[in-house]
Amino acid sequence: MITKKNRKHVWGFTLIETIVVMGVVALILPALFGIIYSILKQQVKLYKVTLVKRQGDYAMSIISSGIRTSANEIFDSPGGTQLCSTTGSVGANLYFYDEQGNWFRYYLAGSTLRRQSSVSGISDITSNTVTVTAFSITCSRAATFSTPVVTIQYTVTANPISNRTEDRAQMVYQTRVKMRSY
Amino acid sequence: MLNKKCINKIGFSLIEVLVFVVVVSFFFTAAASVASYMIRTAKINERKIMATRYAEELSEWLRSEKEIDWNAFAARADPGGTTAHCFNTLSWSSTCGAISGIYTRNAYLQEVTNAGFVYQVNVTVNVTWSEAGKNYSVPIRTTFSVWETGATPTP
Repeated sequence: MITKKNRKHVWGFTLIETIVVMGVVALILPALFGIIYSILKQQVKLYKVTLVKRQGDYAMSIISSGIRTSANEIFDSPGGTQLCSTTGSVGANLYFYDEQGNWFRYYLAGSTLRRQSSVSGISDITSNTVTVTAFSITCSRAATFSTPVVTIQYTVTANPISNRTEDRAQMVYQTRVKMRSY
Repeated sequence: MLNKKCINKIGFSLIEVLVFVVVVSFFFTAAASVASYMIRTAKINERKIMATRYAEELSEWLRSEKEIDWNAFAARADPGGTTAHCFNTLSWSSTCGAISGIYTRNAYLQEVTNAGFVYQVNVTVNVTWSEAGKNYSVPIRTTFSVWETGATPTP
C-alpha cells in the first residue's frame, strides 16, 4: 500500500513547483510573442515601403522616358487642339504625338496609372497593390522658341491604406521632362 | 521509507540544473540578440529606402529646375561645389532642417565652365541621418548639362 508520505515523494509536482513553472512561462511567452510581433511589424513596413518605391520608380521611369524620347507634339484629344504650342501652361488630358503620328497618353483610372496608345491600346503601369492619387500632368513653355516642359506629379500609397502612421507607406513623386524630339 | 539512494534517482542534482540553466540562458541570449539585430536591420533598411527616395526626389527637382532655366540653375553652382544648399522642402529658399525630424538633405553644385560659360553642373545630393548613435548617408551624384546649346565640353 502507498502511504501518503511515500506518494508525495515519488509522483508528480507539488503545487509550489507548478506555480513557479507557470510563473516562468507566463513571463517568457509574452516577451517571446512581443519580439515576434515587433519583427513581423517591421518586416511588413519594410515590404510596404519597398513596394511603394518599386511601383513609383517604375511608373516614373516609364512616363518620363516615354515623354522625353517619343513625344513630339501635345494635343488635348486625338486630332484636337494643339497644346503648349505657344507660351503658357496647361493641364488635364495631354495626348502626346510621336513623329510617326501615333498618339499615347498617361492617365489615372481609379487608383491605377495607365498608358493608352493608338498602337498598343491600354496597359497598366501600376498594380493593385498600391493606390495612386493626386496624379497631374501639365505642360508649359517659357518662350515660343523653347521646348515644352511636361510636369508629372503623383502620390503612391501602399494597399490597404491604413490610418495609422506606422503602417502607412506613402511617397510623393514629381518631375519635369523636356521633350527632346519636339 | 525513502533512503538516500532513492532520492538520488528521482531528482536532479545541482550540476544538472546548472548545466540546463546555462544552456537555456545561452539559447535565450542568442535568440534575443538575433531578434534585436533583425529589428535594427529592418529599421535601418526602411530608413535607407526613404532616404534614397528623398535624395532621388531632390535630384529630380534639381533636374526640373535645370530644364526650366539653365542659366538661373547654373548661377547657383560654385567652382568647388562646396556650398551646401539645404533642402528641407523642394525650394531654393528652403530652411535647413530635418525632414520628418530624421533626415537632413543637402545638395552641392559644382560648375564646369568653358570660356566663361557653365556647360555642366556636377550635382551631389546627400541625405544623412543618425540611428542609435551611428551616422548613415545616401549620396546621389549626377551630372546636368545643357544639350540644346551644343556646348562642347573641354577634354
